[in-house]
Amino acid sequence: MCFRRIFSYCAVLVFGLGAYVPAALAQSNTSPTGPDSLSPTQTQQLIERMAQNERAIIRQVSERAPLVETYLQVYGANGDGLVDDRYYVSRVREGKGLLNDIFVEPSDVVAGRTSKKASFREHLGHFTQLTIEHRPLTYDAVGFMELLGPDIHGFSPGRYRFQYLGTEYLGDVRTAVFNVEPKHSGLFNGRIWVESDGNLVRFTGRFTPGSSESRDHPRYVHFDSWRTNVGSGLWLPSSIYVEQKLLSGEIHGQVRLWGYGLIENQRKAGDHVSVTIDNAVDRTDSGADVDPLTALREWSRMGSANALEKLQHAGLLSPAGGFDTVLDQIATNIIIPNNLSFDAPVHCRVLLTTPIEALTVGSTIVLSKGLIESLPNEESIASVIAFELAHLSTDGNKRDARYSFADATNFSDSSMYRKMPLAHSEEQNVRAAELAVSYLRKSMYTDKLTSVGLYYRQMEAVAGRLKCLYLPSVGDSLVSPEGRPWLLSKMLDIAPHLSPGDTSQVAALPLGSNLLVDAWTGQVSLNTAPRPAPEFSYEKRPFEVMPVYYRLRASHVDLIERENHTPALAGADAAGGSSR
Amino acid sequence: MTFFRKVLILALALCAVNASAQVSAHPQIHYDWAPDQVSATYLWTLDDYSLQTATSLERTRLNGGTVEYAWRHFYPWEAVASLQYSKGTPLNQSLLTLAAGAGYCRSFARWTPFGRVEAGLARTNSDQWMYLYQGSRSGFATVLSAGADYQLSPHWGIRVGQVQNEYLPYGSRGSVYWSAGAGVTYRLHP
Repeated sequence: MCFRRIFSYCAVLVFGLGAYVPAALAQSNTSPTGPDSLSPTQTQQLIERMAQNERAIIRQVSERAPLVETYLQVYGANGDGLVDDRYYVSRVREGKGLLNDIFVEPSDVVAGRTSKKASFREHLGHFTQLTIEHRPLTYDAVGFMELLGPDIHGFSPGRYRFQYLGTEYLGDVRTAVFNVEPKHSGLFNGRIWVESDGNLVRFTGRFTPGSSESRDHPRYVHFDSWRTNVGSGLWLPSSIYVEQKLLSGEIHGQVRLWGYGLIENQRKAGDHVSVTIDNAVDRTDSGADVDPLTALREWSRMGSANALEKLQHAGLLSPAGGFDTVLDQIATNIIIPNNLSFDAPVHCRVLLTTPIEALTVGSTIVLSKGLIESLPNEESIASVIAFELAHLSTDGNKRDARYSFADATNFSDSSMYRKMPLAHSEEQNVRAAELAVSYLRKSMYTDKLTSVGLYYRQMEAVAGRLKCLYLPSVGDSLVSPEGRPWLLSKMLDIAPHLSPGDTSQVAALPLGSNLLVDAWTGQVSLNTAPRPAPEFSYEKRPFEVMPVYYRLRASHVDLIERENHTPALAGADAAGGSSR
Repeated sequence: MTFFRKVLILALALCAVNASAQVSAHPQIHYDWAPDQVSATYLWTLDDYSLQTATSLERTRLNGGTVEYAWRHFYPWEAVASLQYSKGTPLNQSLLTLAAGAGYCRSFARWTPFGRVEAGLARTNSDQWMYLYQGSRSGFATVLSAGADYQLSPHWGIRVGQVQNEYLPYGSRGSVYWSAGAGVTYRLHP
């Protein structure tokens, strides 16, 4: 009897624990009652500190003038897939609130707003598409800049109600989690993650619609905003994922920020105008001027250097180093077996923008970040480098002489896209594609050309719909005006057909793969996190924008030291948080 | 308090509401269109002297309203149809107008100013010898109007003000009616 009673007590205990433990484990990530939870007084103090920090952060963003890139992809209703996209690059400008200098709005070019003929077509569209679903809408770059903070006009207890939920680790950073409710419409409604020093590291939600917003035609988007610790406990906005359902479909997008150290770099560049050169060696021993051909080459080289410096000065070109060495090695893998020789060693750099493009400036090959992100393997990267090597071997750097005079690049950063075109002509691209394929066939990548062809098949499949993604900002487009990749035209016989339902066939990667960008310096590095294979066909998402998720880590770099050790407009790898 | 002062105070109050709304977050999406709209507007109308008897110094004042439908599928252009009826003193005169035409409107945040040109049929009537002719009379009318709407919710809004000029080709010099008013608006499928 006694044993039976003990047994029944044990059974109750075991079953009780069995029910409790999973529930407790489930709550362990965000638990208001655990040992890590904050008291009401601590919560209050944390919120007040966070409100103070937020004011400082918005001021920092305004003063440090980072670049802001917004890329939106539009999905059609009824599972139509991608139908459209929009792209903006701007730079935060100091002023009352957050203002921006628009670098370029390629969307306007794509939409034909600059062309009278296209404008007429657009008007004609109004007459032929008279359904509510087709009502025209525009996206506001300034509106997306407001997502840098939950409330750039004042995120404080006076305007919001905070409900403490518990603590949670985002990567290595322990955060307190709060639900936030606004006290009136038009303000942020969602959830925030605050680290122990009162810095907001993540917030997700939406601005509440005002009374004039209709359910079918929302004016605000849902967003998930992440910040990066750039040093000295300073957490600055780095990536924002946005998503919103519309009557006409759905938009997914990303807002990325980088170049917080740009202003400091430019100031240092200005400070270093007067330089005393110690231990200089006089090398004018020949005593003779150079011959005209050498002078011509030097002249073009100076233009190339000016153009590269301008790109980097504007924050569009990643500082040298980091991922460039990987690209340099791939270029070498093509140059050596093809016996290519150039005036100067070929180097590769990364353009920090999303549109898929590549260019050559002097003997430097520049690939855009969006292009590298979408390339699924080394041979695909090699194909783009081979394409630009072909340009380099046929045209050299004669075009760069345009920028040899110092005043040729003496224009504002925001007008650079218009004033510094570096693209080749269609005829040159056709010729380069032919040459590039021959380079690849002679290289170590010759056995892997089918996967290269597959990448360009995928590019062809979406190029017609993602016009902004394939509209180059300064360099060469990889697709012809008809939407066919230049290289695919020369590889049709070996390019396999796409199988969207086959998860083992990865033709191209989603945007955001492969690379990490340092929000402070713009330095690009390889993302070494393991990349899982897609299990379902909907996970493939080639060329598509994906949600952002960081494993946050605190940077122990001193910000003043970082500012002092970041070489002005030169390549330097600095520690600190990186974003995709 | 005069009618115009009331309208002015209302407009100022709405401006204050609009200014306070600017503190809210800047929207990410703008819709370059406005849905179809039905509106009902009170109109206070003042007739000119041109057809009144030479000995009368009294102006003709009418109170009434107009109901209109604005079709905005070609936004910012709109097609408008309206029915207006007003009746007033001193001689129990009335004015009925059925008109249609085109307009232009543009939405700025919650405000939508508009301007319109309409043409149609008008019918006047009076118990006495108001218009130098007896009984009722019909004729072709042109109506010019301008004003501004303020949106309160996806469906409902108010017409903060509207000014209207209606011309009737009666008599040797024609007849001009000036009207001012305010009303409510209702948007369809916002």
